[in-house]
Amino acid sequence: MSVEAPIRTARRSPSRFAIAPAHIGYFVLSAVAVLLVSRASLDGYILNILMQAATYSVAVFGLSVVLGLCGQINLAQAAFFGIGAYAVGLGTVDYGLSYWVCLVIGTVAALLAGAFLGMTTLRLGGHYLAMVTISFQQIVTLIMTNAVGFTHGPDGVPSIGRPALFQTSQSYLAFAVAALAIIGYCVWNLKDTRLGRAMRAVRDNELAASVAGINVYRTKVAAFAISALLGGLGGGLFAGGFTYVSPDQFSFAESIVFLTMALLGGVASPIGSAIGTGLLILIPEWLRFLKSIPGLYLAIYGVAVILIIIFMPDGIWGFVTNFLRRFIRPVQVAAVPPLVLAPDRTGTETVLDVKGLSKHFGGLKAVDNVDFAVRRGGIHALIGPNGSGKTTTLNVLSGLYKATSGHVRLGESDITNLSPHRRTWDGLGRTFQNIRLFRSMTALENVVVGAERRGNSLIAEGGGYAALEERALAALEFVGLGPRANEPITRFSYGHQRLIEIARALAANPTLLLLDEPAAGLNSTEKRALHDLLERIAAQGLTILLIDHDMTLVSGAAQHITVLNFGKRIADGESMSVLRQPDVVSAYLGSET
Amino acid sequence: MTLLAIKDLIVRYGEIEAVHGVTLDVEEGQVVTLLGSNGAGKSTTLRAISGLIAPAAGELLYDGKSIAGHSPEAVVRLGISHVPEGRRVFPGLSVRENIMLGASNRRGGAGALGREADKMFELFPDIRPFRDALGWTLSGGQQQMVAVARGLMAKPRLLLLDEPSLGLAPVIVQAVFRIISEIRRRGTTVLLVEQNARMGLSVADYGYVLESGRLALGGKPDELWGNEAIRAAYLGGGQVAARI
Amino acid sequence: MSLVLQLLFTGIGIGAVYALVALGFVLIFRATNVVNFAQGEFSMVAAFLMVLCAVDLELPYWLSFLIALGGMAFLGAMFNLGVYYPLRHRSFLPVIISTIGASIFLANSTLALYGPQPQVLQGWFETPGFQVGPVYLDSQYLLIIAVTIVLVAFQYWFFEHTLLGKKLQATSQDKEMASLLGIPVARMIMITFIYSAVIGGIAGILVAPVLFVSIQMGSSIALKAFAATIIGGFGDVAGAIIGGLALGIIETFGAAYISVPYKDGFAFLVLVLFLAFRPQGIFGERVAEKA
Repeated sequence: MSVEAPIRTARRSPSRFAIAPAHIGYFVLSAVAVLLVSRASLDGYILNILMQAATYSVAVFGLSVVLGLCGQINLAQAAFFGIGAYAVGLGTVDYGLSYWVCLVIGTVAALLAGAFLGMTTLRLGGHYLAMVTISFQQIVTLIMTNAVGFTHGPDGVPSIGRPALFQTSQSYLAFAVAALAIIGYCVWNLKDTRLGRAMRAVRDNELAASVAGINVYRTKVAAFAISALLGGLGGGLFAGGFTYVSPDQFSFAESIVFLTMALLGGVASPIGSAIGTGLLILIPEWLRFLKSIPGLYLAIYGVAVILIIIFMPDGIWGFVTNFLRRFIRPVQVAAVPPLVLAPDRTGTETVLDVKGLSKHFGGLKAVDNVDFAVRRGGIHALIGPNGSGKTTTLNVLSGLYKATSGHVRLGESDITNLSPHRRTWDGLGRTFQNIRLFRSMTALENVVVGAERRGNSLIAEGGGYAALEERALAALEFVGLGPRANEPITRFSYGHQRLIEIARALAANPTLLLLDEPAAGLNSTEKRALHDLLERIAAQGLTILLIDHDMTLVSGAAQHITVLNFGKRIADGESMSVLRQPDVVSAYLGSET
Repeated sequence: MTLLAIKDLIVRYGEIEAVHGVTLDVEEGQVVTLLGSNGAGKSTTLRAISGLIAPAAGELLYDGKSIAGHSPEAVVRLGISHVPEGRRVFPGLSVRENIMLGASNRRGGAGALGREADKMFELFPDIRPFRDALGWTLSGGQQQMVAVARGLMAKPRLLLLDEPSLGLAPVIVQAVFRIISEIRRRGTTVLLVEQNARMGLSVADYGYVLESGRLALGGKPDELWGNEAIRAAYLGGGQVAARI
Repeated sequence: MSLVLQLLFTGIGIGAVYALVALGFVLIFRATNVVNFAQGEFSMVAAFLMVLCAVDLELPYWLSFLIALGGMAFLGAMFNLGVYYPLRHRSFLPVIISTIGASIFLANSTLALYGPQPQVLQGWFETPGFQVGPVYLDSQYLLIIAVTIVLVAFQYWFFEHTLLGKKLQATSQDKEMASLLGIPVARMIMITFIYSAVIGGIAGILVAPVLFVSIQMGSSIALKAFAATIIGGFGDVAGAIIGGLALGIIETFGAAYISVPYKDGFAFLVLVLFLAFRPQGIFGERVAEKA
């Protein structure tokens, strides 16, 4: 495949569609908004609405992080909101502390509660997380209502203090809007940080994220903790704004309100959060009769949630961005030096040493006492008919299954018991048969995630995003997709997606590259191109362990072949001679028994 | 007469084209074997026939009428029974219950179906002692027998068998293939998918070889087995020659 | 001692209600892999239907019961079509959110129609109960326990000894294989939803005379049913029943010996403890579930 010379442009980050002008514009607009709010003559009613919108938005930002960016459900946002609110309320009223101290206490308390909750249940995920967050929400409400000595019970806490600088409602509102602007800016930028990318990767494809070197559990806990922190912060601001809090303001119903606001606007972005919050506060005000019948407006919320999830799962802002994306041209890429593959260890002769490896599933011996060694440099293939145990072996090697017995050494380290992301830090790379790319990201972002794995010695210290980007672009150039780096994954053909996955693994500068059926689903032209690519990779000194069914590819590319059948090793040696061995032939073609 | 006629079948999974224009016929009363290495498109072809996936293009004629895109429930009611890869015995139900459910394509009370299931054990005597054992407790070979017995309960004119020998010890494979011969003797047409080319051809009247989603060869078992191209289709070599 | 026996009786009685709701929960989960967050609302709506028929319209009790069950069957069917079916191919998160939306909708439309006042429903029997030795056996609790035993027995018979029950089991174990055999999978799922709604409804009607009939009863019962399924081992039918009984007993003893206002908190506490230390429940994952 031909590689066009990339178009030279000014040296800047090509991955952001809009850059410095947008950030400046944001601050200018925010300053204008704050000024307007502090100067304009607003009646008490409008003031209240804006106050609610501003403080609720902060809580909904929290949902845009945990649910939007990281894909984890949090149905207790109102509880965290309430913790922050009660900290400010009780702190200023009962304990005479200053507003700022209480705000910090409330935010930190919410953060710790969120972190604790996350740590205990995020390993289980899914339904369990939903149930635990609901339970936590209910416990918090129970305590607020019943621990009368501490929380004042159902009566609530009146006359909450405000900071000395912002005693009037209007000045406090201006403060709240300013706080909102700053917090919004931080949340907006989160997605482009290393943690933000990790969260998006976890949301899109947990398995691929862990194999790319991301600690999935820690990322989820961080997302959850940030969400709780934002909830608490919003609650603290809310308490100062309305100067009265009571338990019924922070019930499960409120958590649903926050969730609906997030979903309506578009869960993936703080802009969506703001839109959803604004709409859902204003609409009931316009349709005030809805509030006159208790339950009516929440019933409509319930239906709205179902309809949004079915018909508009990306929310309003998501709908808009998906639509606009068709018209925005991806930014052109800068030229980069060619990819360097410098496998880390140059010590031992054997890159991978597998001894006595077994994996049993109950009574089934999927892998039965397998030994083989992969020598440094070149391509080694692991083959066998369907059901022979090669995919299971690959999964044990990359840490997705725990070995029943045996040892795996990568270079000098024993990786037998390491989790997948730790193996990546030690220099193991892998691709998947059924292509696992992060579908919400561009090709470049996918490869950057690979490049930023811990321990990647080819990323200059303190090089920042620019260094990562350079490496990622080099990897994409290497597989022939450099010019298309900024296009979203969904625009690439199946064969090209496979190449991007390989680029992601290469960008991490592995010592050993595991390729899981890379030829699957490719047509013959693409297979020939793949063969060339593998040879170019091997030429740079990177060792490849290849699993595939396509014998043309295997016999052409691999120097050394190990054959499995029924979980046992039946042959191991130089390619051509192994393929001629009678028991290998009969393993594939069958035998008369 | 031709019971099943497939012409220029194209099947896609999302963007991947797994079957690129396959044409083959299955004559009534025969055992036809579909061979090829993994990823060749054999299972996909069966799934298109039984309705688990709708073809993107091409003709699928059963008894002269098109069945392309029909639902699995409709296809099995027409008399095509699919025993899929991996056996898929219901783990929480007993052997007898699994077999009885094979008749779900027609009406029948529990009593009548129970008696029919019991008669099925005449063809599968090895699993009779396990009648009341739950599916998950059975060995691979026993599960395969249950799966085939279940498939036969639908009283099909055409039986689709997907990789019955997969993961089974050679002795068990022989037992399974003896049953396939008996099924054919009793008049059911069989379309058999097999990776084990030797066993597949040993029981067939006709064979086709698929390679990367295309039809590579077709012929009588002896012709195919002697053909060097079959080795190439499995162990490579064919495409290397094309490149030079 | 007599207090312990009394509490035990009450605990089993209320535990039986949790067991019934948990049963409906588990059935839907096994058939569709969906955790139905609106399961509690099925109980709540049925109780309100009883109030509507028996109290407001003053229809005979048995007639009201039948109408309420008919209403629940209809609700189960609508729930399947409107909430589950459009999302059946999507991942679990949209489905969870959708059932939560349905739960909110059901609770609040009932609120909108009936107002926030808790309603009172009379028990089935005239006599409130009778003394047996040191223990007072409340007649409604006796009814709850009796009906639960009958329903569990019916369920066992239905699933283990009828062809339809076997088809339902097959659908929940391997949908695709079931469709290959000719089992009408969509219809099986519909039956499962209707059945779950009806037994959830029966649970609500049984417990209504003991508690007040209120909007909140649904969500509190649902969370306890969920805790019950976790205790018993998620997805396990026998586990759901035993978990429900266990939870009822824990809760009753906890309220008597520890604290009354935090009674509802016990279920949540047990839930969190089990999830933290033994998420597979008492019975673990039954091997039959592993395909």
